[in-house]
Amino acid sequence: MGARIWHRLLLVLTGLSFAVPLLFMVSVSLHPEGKGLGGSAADLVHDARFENYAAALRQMGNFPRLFANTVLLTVLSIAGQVFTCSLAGFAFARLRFRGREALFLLVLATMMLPDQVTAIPRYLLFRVLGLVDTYYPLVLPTVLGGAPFFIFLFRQYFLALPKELDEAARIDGCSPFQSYWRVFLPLARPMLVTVAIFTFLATWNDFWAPLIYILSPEKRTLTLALAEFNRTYNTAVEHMMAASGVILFPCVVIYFLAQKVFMRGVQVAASKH
Amino acid sequence: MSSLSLRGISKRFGEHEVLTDISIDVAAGEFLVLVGPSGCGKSTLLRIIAGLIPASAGDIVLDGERVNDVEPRARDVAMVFQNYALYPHMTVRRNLAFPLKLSGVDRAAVARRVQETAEVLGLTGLLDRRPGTLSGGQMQRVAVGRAIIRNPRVFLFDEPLSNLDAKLRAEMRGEIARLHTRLGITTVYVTHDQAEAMTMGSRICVLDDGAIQQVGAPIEVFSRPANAFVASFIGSPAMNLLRGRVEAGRFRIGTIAVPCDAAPDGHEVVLGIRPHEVGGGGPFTLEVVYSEELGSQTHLHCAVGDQTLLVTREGHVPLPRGTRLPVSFPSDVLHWFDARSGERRRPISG
Repeated sequence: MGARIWHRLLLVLTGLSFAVPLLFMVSVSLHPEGKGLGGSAADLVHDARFENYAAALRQMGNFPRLFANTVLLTVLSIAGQVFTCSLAGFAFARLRFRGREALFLLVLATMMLPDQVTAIPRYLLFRVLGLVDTYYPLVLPTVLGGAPFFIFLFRQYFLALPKELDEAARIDGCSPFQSYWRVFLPLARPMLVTVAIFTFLATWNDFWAPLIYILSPEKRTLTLALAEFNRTYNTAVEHMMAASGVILFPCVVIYFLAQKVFMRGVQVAASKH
Repeated sequence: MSSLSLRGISKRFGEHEVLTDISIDVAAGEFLVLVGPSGCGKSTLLRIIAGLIPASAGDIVLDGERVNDVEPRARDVAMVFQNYALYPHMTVRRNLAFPLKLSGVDRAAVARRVQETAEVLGLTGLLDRRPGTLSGGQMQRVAVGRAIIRNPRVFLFDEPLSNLDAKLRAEMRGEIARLHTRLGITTVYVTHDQAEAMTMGSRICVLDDGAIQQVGAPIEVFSRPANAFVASFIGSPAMNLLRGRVEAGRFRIGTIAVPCDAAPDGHEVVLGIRPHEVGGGGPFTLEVVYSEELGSQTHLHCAVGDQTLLVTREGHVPLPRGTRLPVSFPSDVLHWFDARSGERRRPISG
C-alpha cells in the first residue's frame, strides 16, 4: 500500500516537472506586454490577452510560409528516415552478406559522434556541392539513413519476427525487397510510428541545422523565426511564449493522437534484445 | 506431377556437418516422410530442397533439372511450416491470394481460386478474418491452403502438426493424407512423430545424425529395421533392445538363454523384440519391476539382469511389483543387431 502511494507520488511529480513549464509558457503568453514574468496566473481570470497570439504571428513575418517550409522539411525527413532506416534495419536483420556484422558495428559507432563534431566537415561538403541555402543539407542526412539508433531499433524488431515469415515470403515468390515492403514493413507499424514521431519532434524543433544552412528569409523555418524574438535590449517575452505555444501545438496534438501506437513501439523497442 | 532426386547432399555449418551424403529419389506423386529425432537434420534437408539454404555438396534435381542455383520462388515448391508462418497483417483471403498475386495471376482468377481452395479446406467462413483470431487447426488449414493454391510441383511439410493437440493432430493427419490422394502432388513431409510417419507416407526415410538410416515402406521399416536406431525409433512403445553375449549358440542375459544364429560364440549382440511380441507361458520367468495401465493395454516393466524388458498385454492386467512373469521369445519375432555398429545381423551361413 505504502509503495503504491510513493509510486503515485513519483508519477505526479514527474508529470508536474513536464507540465509546469508548459503551463508557465501559456500563462506568460496571456499576460499584458511587460508583465508576463512578474504577473500571477490569477490575473488571467479577468485579463487574459489572447491577442498576444495574433501579435506574435504578425511579428514572425510570413507565418503561412514559415509553417509550410517547416511542414515540408518535416514530411520529407519523416518519409526519408522511416524508409531508409527500416530498409537498413531489414537488411542487417534478414539479409546475409559478407561484412554484415562489421558494417552494422560501423553504423552503431557513428552514434558516438555528436552532431557538433561533424558540423564543419558536413558544412564544407554541402558547400562544395553547392547546396548551402537549400533544404538538401537538412533532408539528405535523414533520407540517407543518418539515424543509426533507428536502424538499430528496426534491426532488433525485425530480428524478433519469426524467420519462417521470411522463408514463407521467399517461397511464395517475394524478392528481398518485396519481403521487406509487403511483409515486414506492415508488421513494423508500432516501430514506424515511434520513429516517425521522434523524427517529427527532432525536425520540427530543429534550430541548429536550419541556422547553419538556411540564409534566405523565404526559406526560414518556424524555429528560426522564433529565435528572432530574442532581442538584445527588448524581448517581448509574452509574444515569444505565444509564438512558442503555436509552434509547440502540433507536437502536442500529434503525440496525443499517436500516443497508443507510440507507447507500443517504445515497449517493443525496450523489450527486444 | 514431378519427381525429385537428392544426390549426395551434404550440409556443413562451419565445422559442424549436419547432413552427410543424402541420396534419395522421390517418385512423381509419392508421399515421402522424413522422420527422425530433433536435430537429425530433417528440417535442414527440407529447407535445402526448398532453396532456402544452399547445400554444401550434392545436387537437387527436380524433373530431371538441377535446381541448386534456382531461387525458391522459381522452384515452384510450396512449404507448410511448423508455426504456420501466416502473414499476421493479412486476412485469410489475402494470405491465400498472396502467392498468386506475386506470380501475376489476374484478379478474377485469384478470387476464383481463393474461393475454390477455401471450399476444399472448409475456410469459406474465415476468409475475412486475420490469423490471430483463428485456432491452431484453422491456421494449419490456411497454411495448407496457401501451399495448394499455387498447384506447385512439390509440397514440403515441416512438422506441420506438432503444435496441435492430439485429437486435432489425428484429424489433420487424415485430412492431409486425403488431400494428397486427391491432388497427387509429390510430397515430402518432415516429422519426428513416428505415428505420423507410419500412417501418412507411402515410404518413410529414417534420419539420424544427418545420415539416412533406412528408406522403405512403413511396414517394411517397422518389421525389418536396418539397425538398432531404426528399431528403437519406429514403433510405439519402442522395441526392447537387450545387450548380451553369445555362448554355445545361445544369447545369454540374466536367466535368459535364447538360441542365436546371428553371431559366433563370444560375440556381443543386441537382441530386439517388440513389447507386444514377447510371448507368455515360459520357459523363462522375469520379475515385474512396475506396471503402467493405459486402459486398453498394460505395460509391464521386467528386470532382465541389469536391463529392463517391456512387455505389453492387452486389457487390464495389473501385476504388483515382484510378481514372477512367465515369458518366451519366439524366434520368428527376434531381431539381431551388432553390439558395436548397431547394424542388423543376418544368420551366419553354414
